[in-house]
Amino acid sequence: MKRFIRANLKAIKKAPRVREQALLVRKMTGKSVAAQLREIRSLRHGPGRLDPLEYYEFGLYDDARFSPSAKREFLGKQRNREIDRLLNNPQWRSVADSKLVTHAFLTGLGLPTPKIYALYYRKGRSLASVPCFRTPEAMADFLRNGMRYPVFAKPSRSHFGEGAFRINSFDREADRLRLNTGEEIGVEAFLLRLAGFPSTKNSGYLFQEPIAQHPEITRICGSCVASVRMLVLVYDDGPRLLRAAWRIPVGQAVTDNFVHGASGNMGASVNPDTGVVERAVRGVGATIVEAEAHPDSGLPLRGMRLPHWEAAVSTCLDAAAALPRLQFQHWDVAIGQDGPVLIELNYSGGHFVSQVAGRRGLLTTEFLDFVRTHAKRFQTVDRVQPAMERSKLLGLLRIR
Amino acid sequence: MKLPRQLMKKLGLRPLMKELSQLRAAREVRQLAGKSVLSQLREIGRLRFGSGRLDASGYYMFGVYDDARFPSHTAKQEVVGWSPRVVAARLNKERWRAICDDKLVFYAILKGLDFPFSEIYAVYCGAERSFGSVPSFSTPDSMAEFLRDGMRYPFFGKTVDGMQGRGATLVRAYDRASDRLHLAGGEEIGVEEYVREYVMRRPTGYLCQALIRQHPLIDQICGGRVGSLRMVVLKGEEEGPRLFRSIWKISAGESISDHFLHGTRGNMVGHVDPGTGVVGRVIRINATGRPSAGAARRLATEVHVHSDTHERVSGITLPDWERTVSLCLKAAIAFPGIRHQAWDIAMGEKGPSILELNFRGAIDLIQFPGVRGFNDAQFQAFFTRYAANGK
Repeated sequence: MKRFIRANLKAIKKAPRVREQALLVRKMTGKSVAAQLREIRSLRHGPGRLDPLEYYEFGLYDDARFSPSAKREFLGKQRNREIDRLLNNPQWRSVADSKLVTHAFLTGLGLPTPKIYALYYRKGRSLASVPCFRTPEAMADFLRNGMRYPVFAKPSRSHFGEGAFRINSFDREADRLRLNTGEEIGVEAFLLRLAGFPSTKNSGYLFQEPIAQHPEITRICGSCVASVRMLVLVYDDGPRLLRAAWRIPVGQAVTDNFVHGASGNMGASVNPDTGVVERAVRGVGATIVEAEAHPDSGLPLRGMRLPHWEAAVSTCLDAAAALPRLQFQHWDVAIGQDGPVLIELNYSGGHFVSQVAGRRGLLTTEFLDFVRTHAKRFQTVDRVQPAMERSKLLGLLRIR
Repeated sequence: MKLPRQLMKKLGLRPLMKELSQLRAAREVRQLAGKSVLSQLREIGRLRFGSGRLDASGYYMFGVYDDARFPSHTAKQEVVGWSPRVVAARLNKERWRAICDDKLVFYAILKGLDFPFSEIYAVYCGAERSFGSVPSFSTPDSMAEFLRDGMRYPFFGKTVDGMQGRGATLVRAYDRASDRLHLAGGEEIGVEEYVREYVMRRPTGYLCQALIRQHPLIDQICGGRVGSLRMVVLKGEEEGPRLFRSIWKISAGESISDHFLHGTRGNMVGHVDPGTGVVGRVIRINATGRPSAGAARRLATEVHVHSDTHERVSGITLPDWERTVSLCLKAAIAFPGIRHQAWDIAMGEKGPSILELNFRGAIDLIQFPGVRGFNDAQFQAFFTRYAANGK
């Protein structure tokens, strides 16, 4: 019994939310809980390996919207991780894991990426002539006397934008930093707050130049950067853009992360060839709302063409080509005033917003063909994790 | 009668030949050092089953029999027969490996961090891979055209993921009249043949770099040949990076690379004092052919002068030592996932220049000069702390 609970702890924790969703969907659509559970089970064992919450988040209970084969195209988090292990050589991951390494890499290739003003690393790091501070006292002194404002601070390693701050200015008289959210905080208190994030413990903080976003995007979305998550497949003859999802901040958001709809931000599907916004949504599942316009500015989203689109795609693909052993890449690209700016590289996590916003699963024929022809079995040596047999996984990926 | 290696292997004679060669080595050591064969065998047995796993071949290769240089069993035990793979697996995070192995990724990061390295003239790679604004080519014809009309000479060519100098070429000039490239050593090769033989050798690609102009002192000593440093850095958490060992790799003869390869190329290797940059003991292996040629033929000879130029190699102070160490340690901080870092640094006329970072730095290279074993107290403490905690 204990082993069953341990193995299924995550599922058990999610059970109340699943129940809540099931009852809500029954009320909204009339679909019985039993029918929902049957579908959940089928999709759990299907190519996408969705978990129950993902079934609701993607809205797959809606038979009017999704045919059975369309439902099976949706990719879940767990399967996404398995595909990542098949397609991405683990020996190449450090280029994506550390924002500092990514920054150095992109800078070295002459690709546009935000300038870094300072580093705050307890264990010390080097980045050309950028000052690195190892103690709170030294960092505080620099924040008071050496930092350029505004500045964007983020952890070297983080997820969903956790621990990111935009500092607009420093008030010398009050000895307080003014954040983008309107909050004013003392310098030492700010550094204490940074130390409180789990990601700060073993990595550090980057203080970088805020991206000067394209005025058209700022006009619609506000001053917070609204980046595009580009999913790229690296073929033998070069990389190709598979999907693009625009992450649109709303309200006082400091970052554009979608966070499965919990952040309040929006996600939009973008036509990879034209850069035209096809559909913009807020929320997920039963609470999903399709929006024609941005809730703050009221300006239209659907149908707008993202500026500098060709340059953004071209720059992203140039970067992707430089990492040929990471065959499935997720890039965050901002649309700056003068052109695209590469923010960061991930090798997972981009699957969610592109599927929700585009209302289409990732496991299309094109993607499956790519996985079949490019999947390799790599040794996983960092952690003891049995890599799924290639043939077994590929068998499961066949859409029935 | 000398049997071909393959035939010996088929007949199962290789282990026997290896044992016989060790007996020859034992007799030679008895003559040279006065140590009885029985004493040697006793020592070999203790070391073989100790933590260092040093076999007979290593015992002779590293001169462990010499009680003057290894006066105690503790000192002898510090010499190990470990594979670099084992050390790297325990100390280095595998996800950092490509950064070392793939030269284009590595040099891009170095460039972004403003660390000095040899300029890249051109890249040959499939799949639209490039290196910033450096000319890059993905077809043999375009590469050949560039070699004829756009390349700067001389240049050093190497595979993007090559090791130990394999596939490396030093191209001195292009003869337009004959459409041939002049390689180091006097060889000439047609442009297209060069592209086929070397540039297209590996699917990962090929890059062409400027030759590093070595410091005049090094050039004088090595006769214009390469003589770079291997700097081994141990990167701790709180204590930061420390220079653990430094070795001077000295090429000789026709070798375009200073890779030691167990002395099979006639190159030399010398211990360098990490604190002062003074070259200590320099050795040369009296062996030709493959490393498995036999222990007797791999006994190291101490040398004091370069075999070709006869310039003094031991006792000199290497140029720009403080700058070299400083560069190495600063660069080490940028790669925190690699705790055991083996840097190759060139001593250029304008200062030190980074050649590469090895993920699996050779252990035996550090031990060849026969000054000190790898697994000393410092390394043991480091290994215990970081390997025990896993990655």
